[in-house]
Amino acid sequence: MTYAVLKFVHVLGAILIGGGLIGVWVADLRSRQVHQLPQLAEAVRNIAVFYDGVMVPGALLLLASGSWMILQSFGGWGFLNVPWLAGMVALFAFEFVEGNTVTRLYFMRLRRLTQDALAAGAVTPQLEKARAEQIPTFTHFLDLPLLFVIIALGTLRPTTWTPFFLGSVVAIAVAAALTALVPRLYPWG
Amino acid sequence: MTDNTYLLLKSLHILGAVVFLGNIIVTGWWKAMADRTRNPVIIAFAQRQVTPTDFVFTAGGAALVLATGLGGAALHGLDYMSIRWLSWGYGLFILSGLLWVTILIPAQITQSKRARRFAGGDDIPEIYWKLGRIWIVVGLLATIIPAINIYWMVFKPT
Repeated sequence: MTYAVLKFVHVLGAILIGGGLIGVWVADLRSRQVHQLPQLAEAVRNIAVFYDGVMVPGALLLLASGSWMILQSFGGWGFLNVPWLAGMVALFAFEFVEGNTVTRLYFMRLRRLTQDALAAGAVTPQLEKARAEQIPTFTHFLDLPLLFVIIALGTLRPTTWTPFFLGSVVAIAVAAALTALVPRLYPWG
Repeated sequence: MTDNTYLLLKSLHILGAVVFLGNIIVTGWWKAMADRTRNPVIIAFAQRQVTPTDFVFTAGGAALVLATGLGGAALHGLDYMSIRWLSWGYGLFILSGLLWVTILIPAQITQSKRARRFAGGDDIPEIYWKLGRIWIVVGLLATIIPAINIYWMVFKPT
């Protein structure tokens, strides 16, 4: 019964994190497509709201229920010998740390700079510079593909490390392609 | 082979549920936040996103959930009319789909058309707000119904 409740919470967490990431993705894309400040400010505000209001609660639900399930089923570090589970934990930990140290902070800064630009009535050089930053753009585009790899590992449960490495490489390639392509499709500034 | 096919279907089923339900939640939130500003420019900007994201993510996720659910049941020869959690799952899914097709889609298409007219900053007509209230109430219902399905799918009560 406890396991079923934890699994239920885990699925809810996955839906929230997935929904939040899709919301952030679409809002970011919209923010690149528009050139008027009010619409840009609204899109950037949505990015921040979806990040903090949907994605982070989902990540916390996943963290709590996932840790509990691992403790209950493996009683410690035994999960490290299970490739699909160790892979999921590694990718989730990476995404959690990267999300809170690079991507989230970047979007919060972008929101502040957009508000400053809105108050000034024109796009500021700081906003233009922030919009062109490559690393947070890459980590943002990496979030969704990595989540798909995490979900695939959890459901397919492969017994070797190959799918983990293959999935990670594909996710990085997709993120790199989007980082190169999207800013060119929607030049800004 | 059957096991691998089942696992693949299950992965896509969960992926479909994440995309489908996740997008419903986010779209509703986005639209509600924009409507709260009562700013025609912001509302028109948000409204323009509702229909395309619905067609790509909500419809795409729903199609994935349905196809992989039917595939998984067929693979194991499950009769979904006689298994309680499966029949409830399908029933609620169909009910949510009906609400979506008969009320939500027509309402949001009309709202989008209206929004295009006031995108320049003109007054927002009363019909927009009336449809917005319907959209929120029915949309909430169409979100809660598939969310209940997670209970049936995870606990599988007999």
